[in-house]
Amino acid sequence: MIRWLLQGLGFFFVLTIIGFLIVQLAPGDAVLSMLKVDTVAVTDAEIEALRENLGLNDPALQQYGRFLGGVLRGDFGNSLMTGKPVMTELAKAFPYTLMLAGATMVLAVVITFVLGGLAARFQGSLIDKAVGVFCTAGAALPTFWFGLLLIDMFAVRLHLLPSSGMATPAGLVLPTVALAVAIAPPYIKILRNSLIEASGREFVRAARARGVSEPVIFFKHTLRDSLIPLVTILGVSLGSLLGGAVIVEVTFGIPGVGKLAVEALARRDYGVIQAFVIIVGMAIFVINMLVDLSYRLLDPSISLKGAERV
Amino acid sequence: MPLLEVSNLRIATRSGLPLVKGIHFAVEPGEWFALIGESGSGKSITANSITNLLNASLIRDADAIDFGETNLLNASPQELRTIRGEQVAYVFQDYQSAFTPYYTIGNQMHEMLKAHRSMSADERKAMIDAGVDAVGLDPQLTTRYPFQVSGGQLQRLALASAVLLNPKLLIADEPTTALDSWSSNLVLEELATIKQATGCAILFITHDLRIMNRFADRVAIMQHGKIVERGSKDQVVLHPQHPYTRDLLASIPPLRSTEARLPVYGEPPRIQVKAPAKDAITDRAAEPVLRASDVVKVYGSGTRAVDGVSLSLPTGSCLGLVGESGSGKSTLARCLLSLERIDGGDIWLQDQHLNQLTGAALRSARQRMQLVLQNPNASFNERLPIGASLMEPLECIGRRSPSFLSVGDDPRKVSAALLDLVQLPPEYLDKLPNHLSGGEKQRVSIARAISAEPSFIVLDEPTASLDVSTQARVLNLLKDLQEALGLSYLFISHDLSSVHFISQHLMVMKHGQVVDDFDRDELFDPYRHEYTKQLIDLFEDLPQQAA
Amino acid sequence: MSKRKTTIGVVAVLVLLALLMMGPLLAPQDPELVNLAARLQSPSVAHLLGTDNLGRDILSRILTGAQVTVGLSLLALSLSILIGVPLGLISGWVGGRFDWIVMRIVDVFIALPDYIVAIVLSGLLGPGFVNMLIAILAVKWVGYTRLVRSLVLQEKTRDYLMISKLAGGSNLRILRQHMIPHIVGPVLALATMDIGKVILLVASLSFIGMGVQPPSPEWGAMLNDGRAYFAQAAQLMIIPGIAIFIVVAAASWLGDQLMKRYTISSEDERMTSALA
Repeated sequence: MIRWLLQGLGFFFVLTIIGFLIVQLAPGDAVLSMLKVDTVAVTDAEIEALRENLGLNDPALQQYGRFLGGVLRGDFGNSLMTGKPVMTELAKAFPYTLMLAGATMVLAVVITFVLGGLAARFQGSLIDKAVGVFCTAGAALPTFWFGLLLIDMFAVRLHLLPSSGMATPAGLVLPTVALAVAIAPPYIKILRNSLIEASGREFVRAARARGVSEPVIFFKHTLRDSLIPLVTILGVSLGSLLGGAVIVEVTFGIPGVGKLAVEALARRDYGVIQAFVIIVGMAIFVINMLVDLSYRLLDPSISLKGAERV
Repeated sequence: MPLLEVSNLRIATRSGLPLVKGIHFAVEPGEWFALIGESGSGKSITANSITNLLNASLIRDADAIDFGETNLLNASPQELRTIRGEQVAYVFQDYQSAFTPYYTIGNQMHEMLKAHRSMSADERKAMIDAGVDAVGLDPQLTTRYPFQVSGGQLQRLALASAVLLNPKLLIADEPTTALDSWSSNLVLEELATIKQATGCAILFITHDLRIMNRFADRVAIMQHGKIVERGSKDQVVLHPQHPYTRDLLASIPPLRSTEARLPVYGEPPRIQVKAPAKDAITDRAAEPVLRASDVVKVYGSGTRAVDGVSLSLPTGSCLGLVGESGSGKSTLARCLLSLERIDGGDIWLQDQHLNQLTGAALRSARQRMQLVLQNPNASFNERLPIGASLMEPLECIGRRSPSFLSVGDDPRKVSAALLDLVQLPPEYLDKLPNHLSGGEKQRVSIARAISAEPSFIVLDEPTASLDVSTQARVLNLLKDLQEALGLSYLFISHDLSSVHFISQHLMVMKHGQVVDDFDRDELFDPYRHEYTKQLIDLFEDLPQQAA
Repeated sequence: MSKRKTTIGVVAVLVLLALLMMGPLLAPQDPELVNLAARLQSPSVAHLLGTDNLGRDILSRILTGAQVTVGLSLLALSLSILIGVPLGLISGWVGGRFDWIVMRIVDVFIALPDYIVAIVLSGLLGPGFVNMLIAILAVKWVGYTRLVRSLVLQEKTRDYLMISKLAGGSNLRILRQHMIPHIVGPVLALATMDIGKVILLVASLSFIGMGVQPPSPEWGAMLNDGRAYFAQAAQLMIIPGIAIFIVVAAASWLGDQLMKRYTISSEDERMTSALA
């Protein structure tokens, strides 16, 4: 527990430093891009005044301290694009991303268990090969292109689903499919392989030799063993879900965090970018902790190791 | 009528490679039937095939597998499931996998009872506790996870769960091979007690002829998927008919024999080397090549892995170190080789004080020592051809050829000559390690160790992972080389009989300390340490076969 | 799959990549030649894959763009290997404080999703070839450090190294003779898989307007340009997509084969497939 807290704190500081450096190291003058928004000619004196005003002439450490203080209060300043507080903008966008990510996760898990299970059960058969092709293809499809094709097919030609936005739940369908197809392939492959590996383990043979029935062997012994490798990579690959979400949000015009960040980057709206990096970073940290926890629940030897091991 | 009768059993891989080639055998009710064979003989898959526990990659076929009234060959999956555990139970070699690591042992014993009986949880618990108690363990152990229990205890728990429902046949597949001889003995005695108490028959799969000799009623010997000899235990041990059986029996170094070589098939090597100069030997013999006094090695948690060991290895002789796994003998070896820093004591290599050396001096001292390891697979970089691995010590030292060879400086000729010393053909130089058998790799290891003419060689369980018949040949080879080249060995093993066979002087280690220390011919002296006497009992000689 | 089939496949993929690198030489026309009279044409003898909204020959643009897309990936990966492999090698072999510091940096890079790092970086640095290179490098080096370090740690415990140590082999000799042969295969496998991943990343960046700038033909950018004309000339969008798909699928298939060939431990394989 304490180790997690320390790690979390350490990571938080690293993120704030990265966030701080974003402004410091960005090419071009941040102030200039702030003023440019109004497209009015500005004088050097005006720039200098604003710099002084914003405290940009203070020593770096002092500036960082001020930035950190703001972050801790949840204050990233105002967005240049809308003039509203950055946190308000993000809070508005967050639910969309969360919904997209959640729905995608559910769909990806379903696809993984169905296809991974089938491929393992019929190892070496045509089904197994078809699943293999699906995995290679799914991982090779450019998500945005696949998304555009889906829009063309189901929204433009068949008028079945909305093409963009998430005004109705139906709007969630196409983006979810596009994203799930992109992230599921590694899970499917891992589940397939670990199911096959698990069913050949000695302890499965031992349980069978005791006369335990096949359903119990599968659900209690084999499946649990093959979930462990799946969970280990979950933490690492959830990042790819968020990364993919950015592309999908832009493709489908979903007003989520990813789309907001891309727009902010184009407009050099630094407050939004800083908040985006720090919040996404921390979200991933928390997810990783949850993954770690479920890993411990799945494999008692992790948490009990050392304590009583002979 | 036999309890189990297997007729014309054949097992092959899906690609058609036959592994078991039509064997017949029968197990009578209440008898201890031993199926003997070396690795690859097909004995374990034979055991697994009886209740169809084979991997999907293997195909089984037979005329019949009759168990009582039932032909197991035609039994439905449902019938088989009820027979397994209830009438035919198994104990496997890999005790760590006897139970799934994610659930407690008790949970899995309950699971087994649930699969066969409708009983209340309390009834099940009473039954489990009684069963665990019967193998001499605390029923509390069942609340633990498998990884929280020691190997010997785990195997006894596996045994307890196997006999919970009083099966008529217990199939034990090398149940003691992965255990040290101590725990192994406990498990075997437990097995004998159970057989006595329940009257079940035991189908015992093993490569160990001593266990067979102690317990078996009847025996079948398997080689390359066929049964080559069968009969009562006494008949097979005293009057072996098949050459393979005779070879196996001859492979075990008897403690009471003084023969210089084991009488297995195979020519002694033609070792053609320049004999070391006579006076050089007598000169060197004056002082020991290696001396250690009060060596201590402490590990992080405060465990004294080596606790005040002193020894002396006379030039040109072999010092044997006997001990169970965990007795500290391998740690001691690494300390002596200065591969690990010691926490106390002194080590001298000839006149050099090893623990004071650093940097280049340490490196050049290390070059005068060599090592042959237990695991032949881990002893080689699997991506390098044998020739490159073989020549590594010579190359590092910067020498072209060992002085005992007279084949010139051509590396190819030198390496071929080295292989010839260990009876391998020169073609092996270009092979990759995994194309060699374990015994062959161990021979290359030995050639590599002697190539740099070290002052002494540490042999750390060099035969432990080999089959008995290969073991005997490697032991013979080591002895022949020692004689021809005047080598000094430190031979480490848990196997008293091979240590006794090869060493002039023996030391027995327990818990990091040397508890006994004696010359080869003093083994049976009445004043030996208690622990040594117990070891002698475990390595009891087989009865001498009639000439 | 039989060994021979695999070999044929490997050769085929390598030939495909080589052809793509020579793309500009094979292009029948100038990829940037604007011809408004011949805009949005369907495939014909003159323009095998048709023309785009400015009348430029799509086949020529695809072939020229290959060099940008594929070349950028290969260059970025080579640099990632040059940075990541030595770091992992030293980190694993030397251990201690150096390893600790390297691993903490690696942790941070792993915790941040590669798409997000790449998008933020290229967004901040602005579009362009070199900036894309930096963005890809920033997300890709870490996989190689991790993989190589874990391979070295695994090999370090092997018994045969005791023999080398006793023989007095120098660190450099042990690294060269024993470590490198174990590293080459897996690194090659990961790099091959990464070719596809990086092409997707480059295309995605271009798609959201952060990649290589027009008029230079890059597949992702071409695809994005084609969006507006989808109804009139679907090939504008479909052809670059298919080009990306084929190259990425071929590269990841080849990577899979290499992965199997160099039997990476299953844990490493999971990590690499998760990271790649």
